[in-house]
Amino acid sequence: MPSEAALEPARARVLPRRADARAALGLASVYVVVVVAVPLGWWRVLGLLALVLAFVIGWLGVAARALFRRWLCLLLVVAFFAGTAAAANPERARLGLAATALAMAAKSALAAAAMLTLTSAYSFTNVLAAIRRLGAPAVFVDGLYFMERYRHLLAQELARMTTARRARTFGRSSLSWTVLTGLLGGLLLRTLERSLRVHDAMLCRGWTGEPRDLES
Amino acid sequence: MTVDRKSDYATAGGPAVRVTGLEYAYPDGRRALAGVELVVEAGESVALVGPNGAGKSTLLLHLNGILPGRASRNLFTHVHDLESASSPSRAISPCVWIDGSPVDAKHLREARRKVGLLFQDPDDQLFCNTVLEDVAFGPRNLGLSVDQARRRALECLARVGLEDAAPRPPHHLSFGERRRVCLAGVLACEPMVLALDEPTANLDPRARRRFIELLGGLPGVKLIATHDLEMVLALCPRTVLLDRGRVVADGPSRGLLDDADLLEKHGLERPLSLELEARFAAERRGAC
Repeated sequence: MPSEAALEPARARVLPRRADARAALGLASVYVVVVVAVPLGWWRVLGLLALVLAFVIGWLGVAARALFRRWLCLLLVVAFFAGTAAAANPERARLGLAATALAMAAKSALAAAAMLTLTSAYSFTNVLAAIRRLGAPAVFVDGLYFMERYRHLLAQELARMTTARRARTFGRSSLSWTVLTGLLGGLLLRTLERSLRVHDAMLCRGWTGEPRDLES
Repeated sequence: MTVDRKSDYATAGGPAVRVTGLEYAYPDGRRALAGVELVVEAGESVALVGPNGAGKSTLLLHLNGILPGRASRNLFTHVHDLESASSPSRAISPCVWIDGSPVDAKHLREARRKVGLLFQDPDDQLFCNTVLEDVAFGPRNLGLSVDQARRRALECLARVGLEDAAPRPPHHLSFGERRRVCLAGVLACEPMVLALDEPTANLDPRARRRFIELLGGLPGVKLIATHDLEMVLALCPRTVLLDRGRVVADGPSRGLLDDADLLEKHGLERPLSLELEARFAAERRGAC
């Protein structure tokens, strides 16, 4: 999966630095609603919507290969859910199980592609700022900010722990479930400790529990 | 680089930092501080040295009241509510005074404004999504408007030579740059006392030298907990040696760090520059 940094040049080339992501988020949401509202089996309409999305991707100059790789990762999940949900869909009687599952997968994949395009064109921070400006609760948005800030660090920490473990497994390539759960438990404890230190650092700079940033 | 700021030198009365009989034990019973006595006057730069576990970082965390609050903190309760901190059950007799005011529940906010603490790990301190937001975090919490906070954050980034990094996410910066952003975040609160925990740890030689130059140009009181004794010689005229939670020596850095026996006894070594100086002097005497 491509890193945020890999997608950065595309963003910088196409979008103004201070572009407001609110409009883009609104348009992407409308697009998803339209895709979801298209009845199963209306393949031409879905094709038209896919063309619209392809045009937008080209116009934005988003790195298509990276976007495609991300989309493929999501496609597996989407296909799984579409396959399981299709059996219970009333349209199954009219279209058949395979066509229903395929149509549901196509719609979901298109909606996912739209959202991926949004997050590829705008940084996660921009999207979060847009969500905040649209009135989402601060605690929700701040939680996501923290998640974005520390996910890289947690990934690095997990990689270091895994490497340290592997260095002492003497050639055994795979980690047992016991070791793996131990690693995850260790990561959880480290995360908790770090969260306490981060909270201390916030207190040191006057944090009173009331979010005050450069947006508010 | 010198910046004339009123708050850098202002003192309301008494020494900038006074610590008397400070004792502290961690929740697991381990004693970290055992009656620390320390007075730091306005404008002084003091190094806190000692072996691992001597209590240097613990002492710094007491200067703005982060400890002992944390010891009694329920992990699932956020104690940023100063009202709850002032309840009688939490009351503690003050052992630390900053600029004449005790560091207790009543003066906690004031103490945190006056003491800027630089953490050992920059990733603990940089929690916002962009460098600018992070540096502006303190000023915003001090009550500055968005424009004032932004201006001050940009000023402080310029002081540490990172004005161009303002829109970048902290995790895209090098370790040395992250450390400088942390310093900018602390400076943006215009503290009277800078408490620095291992400021040069994990820095490459060039970043270390740059950081030392940066610290050398900052006015005001500096308390630096470190193992980097060469930096101590460069920045701090006075050194306090801590071991097992006690102050075991306090005096001019050059004299104290030249005492090889004392340092050896407390898990430290004479800095290389002083060692070489002593050897050359001995050789010269021999030649004569």
